[in-house]
Amino acid sequence: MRTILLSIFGFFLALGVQAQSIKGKLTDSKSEPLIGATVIVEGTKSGAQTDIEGQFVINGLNPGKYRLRFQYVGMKNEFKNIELAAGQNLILNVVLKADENQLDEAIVVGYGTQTKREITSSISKIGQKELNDLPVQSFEQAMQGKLAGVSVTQGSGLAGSPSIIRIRGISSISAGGDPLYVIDGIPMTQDYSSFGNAGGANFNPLATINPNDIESIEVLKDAAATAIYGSRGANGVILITTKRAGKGKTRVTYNAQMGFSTPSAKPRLVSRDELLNLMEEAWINDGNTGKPDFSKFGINNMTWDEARNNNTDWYNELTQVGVKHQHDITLSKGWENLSLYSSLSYNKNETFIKGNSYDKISGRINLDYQISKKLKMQLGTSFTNGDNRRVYSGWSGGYGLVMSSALPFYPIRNPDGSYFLFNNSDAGFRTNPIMMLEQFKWVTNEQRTIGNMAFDYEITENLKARVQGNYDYQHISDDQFAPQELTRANGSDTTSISTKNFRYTNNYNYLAQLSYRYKINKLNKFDIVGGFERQQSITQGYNIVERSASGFITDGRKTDNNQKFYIVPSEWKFERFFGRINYNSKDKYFLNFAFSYDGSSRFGDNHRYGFFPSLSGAWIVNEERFLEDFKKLSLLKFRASYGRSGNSDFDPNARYGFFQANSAISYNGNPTLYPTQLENPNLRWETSWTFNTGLDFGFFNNKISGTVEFYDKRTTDVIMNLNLDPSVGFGNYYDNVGAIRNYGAEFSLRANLIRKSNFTWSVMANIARNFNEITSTGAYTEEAVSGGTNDTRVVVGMPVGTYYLVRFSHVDPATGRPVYLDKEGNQTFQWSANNRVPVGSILPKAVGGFTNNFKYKNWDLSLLFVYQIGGNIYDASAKRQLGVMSFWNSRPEVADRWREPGDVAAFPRLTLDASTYGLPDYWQYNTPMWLYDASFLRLRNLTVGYNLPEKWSKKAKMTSTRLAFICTNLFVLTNYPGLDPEIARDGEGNINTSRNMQSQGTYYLNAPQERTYNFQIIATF
Amino acid sequence: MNMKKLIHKILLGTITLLIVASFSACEKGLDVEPDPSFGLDPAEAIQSAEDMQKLLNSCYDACANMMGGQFQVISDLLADDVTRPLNNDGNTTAIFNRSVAQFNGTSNNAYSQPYFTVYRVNVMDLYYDQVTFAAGEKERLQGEAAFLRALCHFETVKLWAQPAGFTPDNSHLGIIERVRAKNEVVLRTSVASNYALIISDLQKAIGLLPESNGVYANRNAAKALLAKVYFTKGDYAAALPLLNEVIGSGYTLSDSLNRFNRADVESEIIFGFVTTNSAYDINARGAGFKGAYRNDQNLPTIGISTELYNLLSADTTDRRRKFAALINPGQPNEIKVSTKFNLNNFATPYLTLTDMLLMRAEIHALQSNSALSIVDLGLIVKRAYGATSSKYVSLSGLSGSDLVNEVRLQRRLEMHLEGDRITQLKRIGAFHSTSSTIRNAPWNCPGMVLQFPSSAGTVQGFIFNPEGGCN
Repeated sequence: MRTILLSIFGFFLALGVQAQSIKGKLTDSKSEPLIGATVIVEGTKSGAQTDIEGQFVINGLNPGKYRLRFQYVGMKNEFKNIELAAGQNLILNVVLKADENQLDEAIVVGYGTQTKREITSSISKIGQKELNDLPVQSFEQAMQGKLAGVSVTQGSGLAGSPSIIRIRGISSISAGGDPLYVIDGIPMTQDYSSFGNAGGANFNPLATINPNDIESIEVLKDAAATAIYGSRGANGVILITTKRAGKGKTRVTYNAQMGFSTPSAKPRLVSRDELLNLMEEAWINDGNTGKPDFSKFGINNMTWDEARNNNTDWYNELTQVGVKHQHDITLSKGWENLSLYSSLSYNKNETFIKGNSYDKISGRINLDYQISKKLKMQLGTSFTNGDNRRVYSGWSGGYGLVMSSALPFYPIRNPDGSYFLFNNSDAGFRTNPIMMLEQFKWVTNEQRTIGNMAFDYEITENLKARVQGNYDYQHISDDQFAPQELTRANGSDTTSISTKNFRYTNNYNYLAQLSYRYKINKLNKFDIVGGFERQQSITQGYNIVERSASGFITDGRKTDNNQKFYIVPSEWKFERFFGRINYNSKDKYFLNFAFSYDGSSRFGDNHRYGFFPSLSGAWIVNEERFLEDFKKLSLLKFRASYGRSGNSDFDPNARYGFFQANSAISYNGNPTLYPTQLENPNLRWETSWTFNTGLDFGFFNNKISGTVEFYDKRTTDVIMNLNLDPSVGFGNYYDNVGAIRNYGAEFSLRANLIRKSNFTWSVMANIARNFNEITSTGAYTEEAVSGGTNDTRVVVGMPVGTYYLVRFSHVDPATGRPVYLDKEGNQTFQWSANNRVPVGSILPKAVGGFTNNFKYKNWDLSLLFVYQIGGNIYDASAKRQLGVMSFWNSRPEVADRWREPGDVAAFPRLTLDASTYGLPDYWQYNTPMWLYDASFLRLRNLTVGYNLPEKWSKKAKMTSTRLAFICTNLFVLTNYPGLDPEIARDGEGNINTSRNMQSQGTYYLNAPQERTYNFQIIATF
Repeated sequence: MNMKKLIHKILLGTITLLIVASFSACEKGLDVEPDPSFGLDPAEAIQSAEDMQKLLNSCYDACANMMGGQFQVISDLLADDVTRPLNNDGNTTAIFNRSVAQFNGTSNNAYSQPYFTVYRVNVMDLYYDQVTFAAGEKERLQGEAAFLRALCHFETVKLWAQPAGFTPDNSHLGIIERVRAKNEVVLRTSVASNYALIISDLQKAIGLLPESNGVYANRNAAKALLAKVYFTKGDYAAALPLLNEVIGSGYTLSDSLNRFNRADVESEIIFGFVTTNSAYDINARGAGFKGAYRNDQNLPTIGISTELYNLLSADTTDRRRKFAALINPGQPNEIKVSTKFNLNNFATPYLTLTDMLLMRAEIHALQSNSALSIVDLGLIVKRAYGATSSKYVSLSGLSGSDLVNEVRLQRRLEMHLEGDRITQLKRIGAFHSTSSTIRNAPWNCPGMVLQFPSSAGTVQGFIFNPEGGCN
């Protein structure tokens, strides 16, 4: 493989370099070379890009007069009139000044780029600098707090835990709520649920993208921007553009980071003696005498007398200081017709949980080759190999047990050296986590390659064609090995067991596109894009179980087919026509019409295609004559849009009905045939109509600039995976039955408060307020869809993810029993699900962030704060930790409990009997007692950097060198008493449902986020 | 560039684009054939009478699962023959406490089971006119399907609604009746309506079923179930002639008391669910019974009450005494158990001669036809205690309430842990002893009825059962 790549590389290197007639150098006001700047000879087809040293060369011009335009992103255009004599080699050095206006900044939009001036829709951009200012496992984490209206809820501290990304709220219930990710034109495979939430964790398909390879991320937020993505654009679209080389000599950058991982919070639990006292109190409260009988607590492997022999700190036993290091090396090189960007990255990422790490190696090559004057080829390919060393966590064990059934009086081992087995009554809480840590081996390996090839052909100066083919291959192998000692101890088996669960997804698409620029006259022009795209994805795989193995199943391909259990393939197709017409009048007035005509295999027979149009416009108001006198106003742009987009991220097989003929299931030896799924030929995309209006403004030559936007998004045909009335004969059914409204406002501000030669201070801030409301659930009630563990429901008039609980009133001072409220507000000792009412929501009222950047000489300091206002956290573990006494540990808050008649207390009398609390069983203790305000302010990132003086770097043969200390999650201010107010609980059950309705705010034994301390060095050669 | 040239180039580009697109863009190109492992297309699944038979087989299979202990254990947890679950399981303990709420996994799972069968039976209705049958085949299938739908509705209404007799006209809320294979909103109807549907289905089955039908439902099975339905709803007059017909049809009591071993009691089985030697059947059938009560391999999760243990072991001549056993006798952790389900290969009797005789015996006793009652009761007592036992000999002296009580006692002993007890206690409460209690709770307290799953409330207008009130 390496030989082939080198051969291809050599072929392109062999292509020649031509002579020049105008030479020069472009620099900024500090004499820093401008790399990749453009020089255009107006009225001709000639031009050039600057190289690594800011140099450019233009050949082939005839003698004569010319007007040259010099342009660079963020700089004001500069113009030079020259006269080129025959045989002259003109030297022209040009200094470009910073342009605070930035209206000419290039923005990637669907199937093309536009200048910021031309944008009529709502698009936010984040560049490579902001993406790489803090160490992250996956690029989406670096977006947090930096883009108005883009909510990023970080995953837990587990390696590979995915974040939850929501753009302008959530408009889906059972369909995916995530935006569409498109990397260099490829709609990515982004299934979080490849292996459900095995081990209490989902899978993060985005982690395979190396953040260091990303040039920019554009987030398309309104329908005018997303309509061109049709039935997949309703949740927003995230366009990822990877780096490409400009022209110039070889540039090598080495970026190294070394850091440590610690937890951002430690669980608060009572001590051994406190716990035993609580248990004894419950025992006596229930009318018992004598020593407590542990079996009544569900503790079956220890007696009361044995309990004081041990005092194990399970938290310390299961946590560590994790070590992280990352090394990125990039190489870029540009020739006249060819440019190359390549990178190699290695990332070792231990977490604070013992045995848990994510190691990744990735590489990328992006080539641009100008085959002829009219034909250009782009080639890009990346490869990632990630090894996630997994541990059980959350509900499934490990760290989750520290906060539940790993009791301090349990020893790790018995006196004879064997592991102590918990043997609690509930099977889910029986396992000794140290035994699992030491015995159980689990690695999830992911390999992914994303490649694309595009040809651009200039049919005429104004008519261009593009054909592009993309391929995204994802291969996940989940290997587990339980040795005999473990399987015996767990009582599940008597032999060692190895399993391999293997999945691979082939996702490919191709598109053909024409773009045409039609100038009516100098002041009016049209840009038209139209094309066709087709995408297909199929996920296949198998599961293998081998007994008496000595380790992982190394090569599943060698396993006999009889021992493989092939999974049912999941396949879908999309095809669509898309188009966009931009009208530009006087560079001040813009009108845009875009559409997509989508068809998909996911849609039922009666709805195979949908049409998604949008109309938008913009007006550069400050360039009007009537504002000429308002010199302090440097930018005022008004935008408005209205359009339709869709969401079709749901089970590709949901529309089909099925009968199963199963020879294994028989009656009296005779075969059976039975229906297994109801057909829905009307199943289709969700439809969102969105109105958006925005104002971009700038004052004082844009020293202060910002954007304010308002939007109203109304979604109908919301897909619900309905909990059917069981009497129908089926459990669930996908149907388009609901309606949701999201409306709100976003505000972002950028201010250069101080700009002196030695000291600068700039501030960036944003806030987004979203109102979310389910406006209809059709003929269904709030029970139509439930969150993963029954805590949230779909309630008309309330937001998605509304907590639906029986209200708690107070603890009865006379009896110590909890008093609930029925639906009418009457007090009752009886907890009944019939009395549930809406009491809160997972969705925040507002999210945002603000960054302060300080620079003093060569030093810089950056502080990124992120925050959330409103929303609720439901701590589903608290109902056991502070509820009916059992084999769970308790929390210090239990001190405020009822002990004797007359006590006014926060928590009721201790008991072993759920009926004392009026509960059917202890799992049902779902009340707002465990509901907390989710507001927080977090110092997400603190960076102190130092750029070595140029002369020092040059002595070391380097162009520049930067040293930095980066600290993440240094502190968080919150009223939430649990571990971490930012919760992205890895989904359970129906992943989409729980991610939309519950995952963001419902806590259950999850690990908190990491706090990391990192040292960084970036050297450029 | 002149306009003509421009148009030419636009046309050229468009044509190129369309050529590329047309290679793949078509509605058919979007079709993805689901992998065969998903299953069959409903439009092609039912093609023949053989397919209809397979569909019916799946109804028997689903019923066999639900009646393989699942419904019976839940029933007995509500009554007085068992202990509080020994494993502290929250769901079964809530049933035992008569405090089942919407999120009880055990109860909710059970609720969905009968409707699998009901839906499949209703699917069969869609195909009777589209498939060619041999003579009599269609009628047999229709009869069996009607029988199974009645069975499922009957078993459901007993657990999720107050019993017949709770209100004088049975106008109190019953269960949802499903008579069409359609995802449509159907709300609960009255118990009177439920029983009317069940009776109608069974009468239809009686008219369609053959006299003999192997291990499957035959005409006597439908008659026996209809008799049981009438008996449960207190309509003894309607039950009696049916009982006479069934009892007089040649069934004989087996000497064996191992009711769950079909081979031993074949002669008295009117209808039951069978287990074959397939791995699936052996492992799955009777799982509900085995999981709760089996005690020869592991500890059971549910023991029997002291009251039942004492009744079973009270008379040394009673051969059913063998079912009463102790684990850790004399120890603080002593558990009283029944050995009735210490079996591997399971059959579940559903309608038996024993049951029919005891029903008729009680009806005769209630109607003061002591002699007739004693004849039927005598057969049961003689088998259990022996012809020379004092119990058998003394039967002739019984009459009135003593006789009624003896019949009911023998029913309890014979059919213990078969899910029958709660039905009888509620019937007695509703029709004979309105102040009677079940394990210290009124027979008609709200919690004596299971709560529906929260998902039943998915549709507007659904009314849940009241909860609690039994403790």
